[in-house]
Amino acid sequence: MRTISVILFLLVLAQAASAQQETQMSLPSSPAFSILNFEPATVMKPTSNKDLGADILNSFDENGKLLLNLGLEVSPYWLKSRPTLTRAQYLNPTVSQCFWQSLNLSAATVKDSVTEKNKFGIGLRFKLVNGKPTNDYLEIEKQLNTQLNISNVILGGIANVGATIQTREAAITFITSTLTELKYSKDIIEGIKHAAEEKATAFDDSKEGIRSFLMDLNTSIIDSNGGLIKKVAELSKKRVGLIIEFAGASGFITSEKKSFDRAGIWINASNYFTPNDAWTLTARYLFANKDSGINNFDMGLSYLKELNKINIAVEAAMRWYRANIPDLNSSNQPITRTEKDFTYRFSVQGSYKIATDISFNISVGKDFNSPFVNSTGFFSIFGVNYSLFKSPKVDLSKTPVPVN
Amino acid sequence: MAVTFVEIEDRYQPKTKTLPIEAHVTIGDGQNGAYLIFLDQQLKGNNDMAVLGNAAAVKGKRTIVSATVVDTMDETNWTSLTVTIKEGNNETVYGPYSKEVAENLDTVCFIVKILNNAVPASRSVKIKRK
Repeated sequence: MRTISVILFLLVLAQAASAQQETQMSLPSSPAFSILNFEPATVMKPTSNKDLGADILNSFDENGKLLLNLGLEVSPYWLKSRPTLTRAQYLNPTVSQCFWQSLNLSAATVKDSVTEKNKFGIGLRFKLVNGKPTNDYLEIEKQLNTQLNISNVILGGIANVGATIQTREAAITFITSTLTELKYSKDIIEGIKHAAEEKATAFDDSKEGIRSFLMDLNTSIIDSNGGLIKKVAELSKKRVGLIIEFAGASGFITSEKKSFDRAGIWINASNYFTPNDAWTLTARYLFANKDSGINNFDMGLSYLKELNKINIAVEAAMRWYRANIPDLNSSNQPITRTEKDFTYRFSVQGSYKIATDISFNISVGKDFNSPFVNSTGFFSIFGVNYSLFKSPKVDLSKTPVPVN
Repeated sequence: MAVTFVEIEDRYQPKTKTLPIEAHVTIGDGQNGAYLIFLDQQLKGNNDMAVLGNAAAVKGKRTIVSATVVDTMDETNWTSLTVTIKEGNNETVYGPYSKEVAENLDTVCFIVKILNNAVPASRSVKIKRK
């Protein structure tokens, strides 16, 4: 009885997981994977031209054939250093800058386990407008920069070792006087002075001794700001205002002459009026050229509310579809039957986060009608989303990069 | 969250005797960071351009830029720093000095020391009389 319960529970989870994927109106994070309905076991994410070249070469076997079950995600703009791109330009980009810095290309190969056909998918995704940083972010960035300037004062001390700084004591005096000039509070200056005096005892007054002492002090100060650095990295991803995003993908059957399989275009316009409340208008066009050719045009509006552990989303979408279905007429001659219709979908989804990678989800609503399945369209789904493993990034041996 | 130190030394030859010399700093790659500008031990700039003085004021002293850059971006592990010395319409660019960190949230500490030379003395020209 217990075994049957476990099997039933797993079946419900499996169905729920697949249904949850089906219900998503948002842009796919990797359009090439999405168009193939496949998450590759190995995803290559090159970060330099050299890595990209190596990854492309590694995608073929010794006979020059493309390897299967591989994924590639690349952001062309970030394949090299961008020394003229300031933080302000990155956070508040122009339309063209926003396009380039968000452009992501993806490709994937897969062997369809049902049809045994080899498939290849290619896609892209980019933003044209990316809102603006939140006030919380700007505040915490300011706090971090104040902390980083303490490090810069110590670096100034390192630069003067052997010239105007000849002893550890002179180094500490330089640090405290510069922090005073920068208007740091007495408490902070006393704290730094105390930490410096404690560390200084482990070193001598030789040039190397003073440098090592200051480097050690600097490293410990940067390490003490680890929490603040993490928070800045986290909050920099939160945006408010209008975000306009596009994605497109095509799938091909590489083992057939008539290779085109399916294609999709997605457009999202979201307005985050707070970092946790967003209205999203989505439009997507999906075309499949399988045994039955299907064209879907969907348009939907959703509202998302993110709380600490609970997310609530309300979504309504309209679909116009046209399906070309191979059939036989009354004389038993092959014909193509065309079905056109309008259908809609409405859903309320909620999720409760239990841990970083585990959440309980519930979806209630009415799904789109399908030209192939007769059903009421009503669904009520309860499921668990979990992520135990992340796709491993192919680690190519990197040579240390020299400073230019 | 590893910390890497990058030190660079260079020289600057002032172009005029009178024009003020300015130091400008760019932290690139969209990364988060802060910087200070010193003339030897003297603090001249805090996350903004600094006026260092004319050729006589900087002669024999070092312009020091200390910058701490944190890789807070998922898109790249590159960090970079460019120092530009301006004197009127003259611009001398040092860098970009780039360093790729191993992991996200790693920190790079840049120290750029630029020794300021004296203005070259103008040559006396002998006028030949016939």
